[in-house]
Amino acid sequence: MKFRAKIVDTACLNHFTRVSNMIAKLAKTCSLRISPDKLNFILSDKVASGGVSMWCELEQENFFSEFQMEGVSAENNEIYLELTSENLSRALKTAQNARTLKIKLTNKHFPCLTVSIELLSASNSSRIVTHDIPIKVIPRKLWRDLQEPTIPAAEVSIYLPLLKTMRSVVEKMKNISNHLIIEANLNGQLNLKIETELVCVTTHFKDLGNPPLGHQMCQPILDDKRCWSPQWNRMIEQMGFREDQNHMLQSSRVGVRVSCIMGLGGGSVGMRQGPRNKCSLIICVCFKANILGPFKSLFSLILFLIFIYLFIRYRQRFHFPPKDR
Amino acid sequence: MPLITTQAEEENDYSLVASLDNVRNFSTILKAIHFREHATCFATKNGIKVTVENAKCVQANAFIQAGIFQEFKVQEESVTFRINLTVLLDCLSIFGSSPMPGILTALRMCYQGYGYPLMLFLEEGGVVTVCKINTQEPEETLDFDFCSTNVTNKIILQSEGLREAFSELDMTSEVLQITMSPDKPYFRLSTFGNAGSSHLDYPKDSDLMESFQCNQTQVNRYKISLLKPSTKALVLSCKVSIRTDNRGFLSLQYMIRNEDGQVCFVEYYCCPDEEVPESES
Repeated sequence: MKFRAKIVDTACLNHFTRVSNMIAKLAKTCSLRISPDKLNFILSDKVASGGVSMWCELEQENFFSEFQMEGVSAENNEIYLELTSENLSRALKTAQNARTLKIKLTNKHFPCLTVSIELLSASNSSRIVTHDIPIKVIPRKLWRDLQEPTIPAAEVSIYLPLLKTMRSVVEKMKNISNHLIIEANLNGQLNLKIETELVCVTTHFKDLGNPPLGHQMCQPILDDKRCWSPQWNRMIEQMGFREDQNHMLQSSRVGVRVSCIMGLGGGSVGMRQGPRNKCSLIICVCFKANILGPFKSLFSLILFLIFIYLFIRYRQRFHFPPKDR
Repeated sequence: MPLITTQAEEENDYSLVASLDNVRNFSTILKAIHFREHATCFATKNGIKVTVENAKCVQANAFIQAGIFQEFKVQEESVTFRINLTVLLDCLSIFGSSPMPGILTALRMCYQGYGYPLMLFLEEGGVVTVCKINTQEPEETLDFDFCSTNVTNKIILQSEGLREAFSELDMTSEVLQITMSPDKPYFRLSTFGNAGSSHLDYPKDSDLMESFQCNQTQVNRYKISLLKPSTKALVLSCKVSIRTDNRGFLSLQYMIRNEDGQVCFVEYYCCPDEEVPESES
């Protein structure tokens, strides 16, 4: 089992740092899957009927200038590790203005992910900071718990509005209520709503457009302005909330019950065509339907917010989706 | 859509209807008095007055005159209700509190009358938010009986002169002592904290001093914890008028200019902490 990688480009390094910061905010421990062309950060919350799982995919060649790995065996050329996500993000904090970053798998009394950072200093001599992050190697028999999540079939799927607007709305709603009700239909209407004793607030978004249902969503709309706001075409985030959420839908022409509303991600072009788009990244966050009550939904709401927040930042950094060339 | 039609039909049922192209002209003023959770609103045909009180000793009033609104209708003589100011401000800034250039949030505010919720319709870029904020039984507000004929000392300052002083007040001091006098030290702010006392003097002929009308020496102490919230208004304002009356009551009036150049006023009243022996009265 071997792994060694190097980042030289500052933009890639910053991007990698931000990804790791986001993961540190989402979960205490995460799994890292290393394969010859991809790095995956995986969260799979196995809490019964709830919890959040995440699948974050980094195309190796978009980040690393050198990348060598040797998996457990030739036919299973992969490595699965478990690490405390905060350790990684803390280690990368020192890498802010680094010249290079090297990551390798080492064994120093215990298995470690060694992050060595070459820093520039005022006098031309460079310094190297090394962090050893203790890890656990995940045995093969547990690998199948860490496979890419299958996204449940959606009954309603909708493009999200400008995330900046949406984030601000959700942020303010979070101040007032622990529960957020999400309603959407196939007419391109999306409502975000809170209901408390003090106040009822509903934000109506309309004309959002619905991506085609099913899996043939490969038609990017490049000349559509909305392409710059995220085009959500993977049905990933499942946020079915309460049973009483449907009165808006009943009044609309399409009487579909919402069980799954949103996809997280970006325009299919921006996400998939890694080489054209310098740093491509795929993140899926899955929320289970909220049956467990306030705690779960509060948690998922916070995660959702963090996600949206981070997504906005990444999107700007990416120049995403890629400029049409 | 159905919302808007019902709105038109019931237009006459509303005792208060106000609309505004830029919600920030309204929300900034409210932020200046947001130091307690609840506020009492009074609407007359001249505008809306929002009052916040604390400890029966301090009262803040924000006046949003009818001219600030593009449409302003009050059906009754006066409309009064109590509302959760924190929630109201969250609702008003639901599309984000930092402005994006060229994008304004429009507001339409309707209130049907006693027992009904306050309805807010906010719109930005085609996105509509409807808020229904439950109103509460209005409470009687304090009457400070601060009459301009009883004013003994009055100073008008440019706010920047006071801003720094207020933001750096020694909070370990229990009181802020304000000295106003026709002779030296003219206008002095003093605190008495753990680290010692500090005095800040403003000369009468300072550039910051717009007007100085002091008739007699007055030394009054005010609870610093009660005055500190007025910093919010101070930060937004361009001028401040500081007045004391013969009983030592303090009135701070802040002139706040909004994004459209209109002027609004926010006013703080505060009781003196204790009687300080004075030369007269």
